[in-house]
Amino acid sequence: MSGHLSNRILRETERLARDPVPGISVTPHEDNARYFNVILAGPAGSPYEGGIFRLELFLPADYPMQAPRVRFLTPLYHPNIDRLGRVCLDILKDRWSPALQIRTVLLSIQALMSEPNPDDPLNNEAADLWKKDIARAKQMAQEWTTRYAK
Amino acid sequence: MGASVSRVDTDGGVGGHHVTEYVPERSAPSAAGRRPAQQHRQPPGTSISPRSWWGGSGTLGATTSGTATDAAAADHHTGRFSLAASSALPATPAMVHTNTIRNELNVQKNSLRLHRDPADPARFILEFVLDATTTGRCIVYWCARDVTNGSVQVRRLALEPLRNASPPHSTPFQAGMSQVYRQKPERALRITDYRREDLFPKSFDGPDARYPVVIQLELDEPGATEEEFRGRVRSQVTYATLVEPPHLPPSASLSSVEQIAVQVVLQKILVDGTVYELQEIYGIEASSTTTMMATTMRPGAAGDDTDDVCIVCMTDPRDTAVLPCRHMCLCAECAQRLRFQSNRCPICRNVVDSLLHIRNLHTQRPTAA
Repeated sequence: MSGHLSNRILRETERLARDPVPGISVTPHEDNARYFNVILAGPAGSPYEGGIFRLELFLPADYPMQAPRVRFLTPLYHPNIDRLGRVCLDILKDRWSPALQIRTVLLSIQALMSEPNPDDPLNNEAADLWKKDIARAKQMAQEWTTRYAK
Repeated sequence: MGASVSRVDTDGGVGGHHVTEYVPERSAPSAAGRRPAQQHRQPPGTSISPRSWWGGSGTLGATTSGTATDAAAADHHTGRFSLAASSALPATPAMVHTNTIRNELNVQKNSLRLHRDPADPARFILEFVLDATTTGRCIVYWCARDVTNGSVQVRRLALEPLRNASPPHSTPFQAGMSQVYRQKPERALRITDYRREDLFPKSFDGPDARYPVVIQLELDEPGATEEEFRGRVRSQVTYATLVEPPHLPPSASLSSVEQIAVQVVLQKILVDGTVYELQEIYGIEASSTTTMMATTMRPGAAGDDTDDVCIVCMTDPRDTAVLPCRHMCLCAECAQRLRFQSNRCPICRNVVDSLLHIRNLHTQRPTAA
């Protein structure tokens, strides 16, 4: 692996520590500089508000040419996040660009929590409910938040 | 002839406008033909006119032997710019290397003004700022079109004014950066000689497009031989339009306004018989200025958290622009890597056609502010 790309990981990690994003905590794993423990605060005004969500983030060998892999460890009820915590987000797939960073990825995930997109579902059950009865869906999401996101 | 023109319609992006890239009017059909169809799409976030990307009017001067040049980049403030040699375009974007040559003439794009003559309200006097590192002459044309013969080696751009009410006049200038050029009142634009639609054209489509203001700068070194002009910017031509004063009723006379805004539409240069169009590279300013400060003021700390470092490695200075979108966002090493991993610009995701590496970007510094 090129020294250039590991430099990038170092710089991103340094900057995240020096200049943290409110509501987002990113801690590199002691044994693996490419593996990060992430804690996201549920966005205000969303059914996830007040919840503390744990995620894992892994930078593949050819990062930033390839997108980071991100997975929720805390269960949440959301049309674009499945039971395994996988996230359906375009910038993690075909819309990835090396101009994006760990920081921007996590901000995008927070934005996705605030603005679910039931038309591009990963969790069909949640997406259907979101479209049919949004009040009930948000209530479900809130209940899951209270139950799991502590 | 596969001549083509690409252009920037507005002042795009980064603060100043003296840093530019030139794309030649292409005369090599093979090179033009290899361009993928995506060239014609407007990349998001840029001001490129979609109709003109390699499309072009085809009337403008270009040599038939111009295959050696593919793209060029310039920094007028530093008086240098680069010409790039073309190569076959493989599936992965080509890395285009540049040759740096001196640019000795420049009209500062944002400096053009037309002031009403206090002595005669029907006359508007043109004023602008020019940079020159040698002697030359300046010719101002009103409502002119480009009639350069593109089939021969171009010696100078031929411009044809609308009428002879104010015949073009050549004024010499000396070397000097940021010289203010102010017309003599008798050379000024006499607005009563022109129709309103000539002064405020709605578009610049087609080969016969006329530009209300055209400024031609030419090197003029008495006794210099052709050989001494080799590899130098022989001439720079600035094509500008006038901005109709807002809130002025069509019936009201223009002589009631004190100043008419002038907006540059395009600039061209002539080097070794080939005409190039000047285009900006987005991000080149941040790259050259902040890196200079970073390296001179805090050695080793370059690329901490500013816009001057490569967007991929966040470590090395940016010295490579993506074409055709002209986003200067990569270092040479990451650009090489990108060639084999992706064909999209990291900034705008537009398809990458080639990569323009600008040498010496971080080694030569401007001497004039």
